[in-house]
Amino acid sequence: MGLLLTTIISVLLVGVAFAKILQAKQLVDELKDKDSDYITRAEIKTNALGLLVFALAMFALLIAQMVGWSKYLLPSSASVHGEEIDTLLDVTNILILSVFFITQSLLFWFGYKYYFRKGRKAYWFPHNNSLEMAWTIVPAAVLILLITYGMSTWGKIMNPEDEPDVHIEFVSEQFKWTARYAGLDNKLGEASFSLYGKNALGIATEKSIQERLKECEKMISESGTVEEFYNKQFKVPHHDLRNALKIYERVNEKGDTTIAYKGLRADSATYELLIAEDWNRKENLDVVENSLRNYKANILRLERMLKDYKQSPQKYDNGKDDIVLNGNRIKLPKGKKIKFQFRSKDVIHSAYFPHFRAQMNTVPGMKTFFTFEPKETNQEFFDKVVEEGKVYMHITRDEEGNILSKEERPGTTGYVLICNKICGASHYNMKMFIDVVEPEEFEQYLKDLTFGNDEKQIPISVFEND
Amino acid sequence: MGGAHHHETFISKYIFSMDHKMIGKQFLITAIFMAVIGMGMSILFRLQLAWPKEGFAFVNFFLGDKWAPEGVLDPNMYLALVTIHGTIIVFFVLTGGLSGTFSNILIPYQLGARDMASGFMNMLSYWFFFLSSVIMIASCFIEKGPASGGWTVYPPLSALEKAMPGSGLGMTLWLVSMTVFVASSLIGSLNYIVTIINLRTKGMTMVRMPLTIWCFFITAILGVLSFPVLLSACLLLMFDRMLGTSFYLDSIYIGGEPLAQTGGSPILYEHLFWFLGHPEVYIILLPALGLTSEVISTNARKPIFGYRAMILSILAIAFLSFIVWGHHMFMTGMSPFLGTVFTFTTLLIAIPSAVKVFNYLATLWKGNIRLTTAMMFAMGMVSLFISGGLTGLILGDSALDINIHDTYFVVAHFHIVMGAGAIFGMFAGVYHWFPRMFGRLMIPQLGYLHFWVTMIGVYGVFLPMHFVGLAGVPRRYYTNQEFEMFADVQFINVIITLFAIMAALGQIIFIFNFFASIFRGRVSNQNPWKSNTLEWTAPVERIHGNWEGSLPEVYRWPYDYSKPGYEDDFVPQTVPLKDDEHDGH
Repeated sequence: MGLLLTTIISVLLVGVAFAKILQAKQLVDELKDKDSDYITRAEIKTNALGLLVFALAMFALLIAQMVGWSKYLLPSSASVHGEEIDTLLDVTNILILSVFFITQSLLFWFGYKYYFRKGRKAYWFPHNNSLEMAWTIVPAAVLILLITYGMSTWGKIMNPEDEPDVHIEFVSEQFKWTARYAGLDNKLGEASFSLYGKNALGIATEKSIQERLKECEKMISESGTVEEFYNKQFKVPHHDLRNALKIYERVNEKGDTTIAYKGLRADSATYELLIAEDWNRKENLDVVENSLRNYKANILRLERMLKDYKQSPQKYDNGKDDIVLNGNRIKLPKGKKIKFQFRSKDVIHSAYFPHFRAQMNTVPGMKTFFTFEPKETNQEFFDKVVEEGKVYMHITRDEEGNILSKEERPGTTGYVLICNKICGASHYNMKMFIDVVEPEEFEQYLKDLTFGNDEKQIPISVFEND
Repeated sequence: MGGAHHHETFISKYIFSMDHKMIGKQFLITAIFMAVIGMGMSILFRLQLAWPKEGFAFVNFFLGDKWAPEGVLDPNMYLALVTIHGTIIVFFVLTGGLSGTFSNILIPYQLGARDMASGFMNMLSYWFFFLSSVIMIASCFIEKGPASGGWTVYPPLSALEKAMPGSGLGMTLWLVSMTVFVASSLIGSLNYIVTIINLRTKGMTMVRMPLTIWCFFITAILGVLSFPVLLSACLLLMFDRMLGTSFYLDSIYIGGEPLAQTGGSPILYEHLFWFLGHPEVYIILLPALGLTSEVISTNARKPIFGYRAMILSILAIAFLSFIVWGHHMFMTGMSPFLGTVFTFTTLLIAIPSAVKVFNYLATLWKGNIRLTTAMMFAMGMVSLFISGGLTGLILGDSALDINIHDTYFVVAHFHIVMGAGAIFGMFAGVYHWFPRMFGRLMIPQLGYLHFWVTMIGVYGVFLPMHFVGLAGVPRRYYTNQEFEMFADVQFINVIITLFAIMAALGQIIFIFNFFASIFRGRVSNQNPWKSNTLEWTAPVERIHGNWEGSLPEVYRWPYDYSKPGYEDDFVPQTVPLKDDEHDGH
């Protein structure tokens, strides 16, 4: 505090001194040059030169950064569609950098070249229609080309023509990703948030619906009705709370301690205590009331779902063989078109695969999709990245996660899926590692997951054993 | 009106003033105060980004042991700071502060009016603004911290208290504050529109208005059309939070329970928010461009090039700004076809923007440029407008947005173009019209110093930030040390933070200069910049009603600088045309 005060005071003093000096200087200026426009020739000249120097320095630093820091930027795309994005980015970059250098050069050069000289008059040039037409039409033409190029790339990426080879789902929640393979039938089963719980991704099958229904009903019967819950817990009955408060106010304001309530001849302190306790419990009550409402609504939904199941059971069969992955690592097959389906349990997240040039928000209540084809296995990608001269920071940590040492190494840490939409305190640390493997290896892996060590080859329903 | 002799108390003159000049100054000083808070917050979280999890006594001093134990910023507080920094700068500094200040001061002055159409509404507009500022700042002092869902406060994150501590009372206060702010903005904007349409002095046709007024006019129209949509978005969010409705909520499982509220869509909120959010960018930028146009023309001693083209491009930008909001939402899972449409409309905005830039360049060409401090900032604004505008071509292209959406590239882009760009426009305005506001000049030497520190600071912060974004680092990350692929750009974060600290300290020069000059600055003459516009024909003393006697009459457009046939290099709008002379453009 003392330090702060000293700093403030000394800053102020320096400021005051500075202001006095400037004031003196201004008076001198005024005497020297009566017709000045409140600034001196020297000031104009210095700043004009400053503009020039600044522009040159900015250009030099920008170029230095583009060259020197390219090794830190993302390596070239690891997915097929990403190549087109990279090309489009290069084209756009060339365009905007040339416009940047030309217009900025002109701006700063004019600032320097045409700085104020006394007695000179500026050139009267209020408008020129052909010039204006030119710099409307040329940018328009260039932009139309760029827009067409961009739109066609976007269309190809978002509406792929071919059927996808593999279906995979990612579900986000604070603060992790969970993945699901579509299993033998290559179809992702129906899922609902009403089923979340033990069933991590809420996959809907007859069994899972019924189990969840039982679970919810049990939960409700245990907590009983709100009134029951309330009367068990509270000294003042629910319907009397308002009365009790009124009495408390009278006791408090008028000092009237003669009123008896429930046989208690109370002074204000007793009531205060009594009611304060109950208000605390009131908060708990709100929680219980909410819970009950939520679970009752859930039961209604589950019953509807069960009815729906009875009408069209085949819809619910797709989920039977689905495989939910534990842990934060997933394998993807190389050279296959993978259609990713995204869901979110709680808030909006965004599934961002920087190496694959892929991203899609995960939105509660809505499925979103993105399709891409990985083209390099982890090893192939690593080799390519080394060749491109990219680096990453190798970090050694102790058991508590504190950083012990850092070292820049060539290559990459490999593919990741990260969260790219603000989702809460640990948003910065929500990740899943991705391994791209050869398709044969992937098939074997899927089989192992599906049948485990079962020689009779009966599929394990992984999600139910979570 | 017009009577300079009626009795004024301290309260009616300085507090509940209905005089446009005083209200403008109130807006400006409130905005400076808010800007200091917003900028200070950015330094707090920049320290964390540069040196993650290292303790700073400085951070602890401001945030206390709860939010910065041993000086290490808490992750929740980090998000809160990011959120409130954005909210304060976007709404309170660049919307309320910029439009509020200069629309108020310049509209009556440059139109030749005695005051705004309704002085009372004008006063209300300021006091609603003040109230909402107070609520916003108060929200920072509550137990669980202020709103922390990012300045866009997307539900469900902002709707569910269980999702993060900041979504409790802090979020409620945020919504209340914004509701009051929208009221302020609407009252102000309506007043500006009515004044511009009705109170122009004799001879001041629409095409004789300075570009500043055109920009304020269009800005006000944008505000009136778009802010109510934000208001409804906020109200619906409030209903979801308090009344158990479900406009934005569906299929949510949080705190181990499935919520009963279903059937809404979070995407609806995003549409509503960005329907304001994108015009908002131009609500911020247009006044800055207007101020810049005026400053550039005056100081280049040349007519603004292509006056009518400038007006048309403002209109085009304003129109297009209403049909581009979807480019904030390419990655939300909305129909890819919509993505195509929004890409098309977004990139079209580049055309009028390019026209504006070329016109500025043509205005400077063969000028006689007086590099006043205001002019330096105006040049800086054009430079930033170019730099930030160009990266918009990348972000507005949906195919490219896939990989840089929500990365630091976006942060760099909008900070340059609408953050620093608009702030530079505002500085240009303050330096240029300071004599009009206070009858004195700001100290030019300090002004130049301030300009260079800020200019170097801004480019030092935001040029390198593009590279952080191209390395794939997402925004709103508490630290990027958790990923080895991002840890390699950590040194860039350090560079950015150092420049940010430098730029922030540089603003002390401005604040000192501003307040010192109010009392001690050199006394200005009536027309210090030898400008054509009407505000410089009013007496330096800033009297009630602006002009003694009758109002000035206008005979020509405002840009007759260095016109052939005149000895002086400026011809004020009040000078009648000669017999054989045509009006300017």
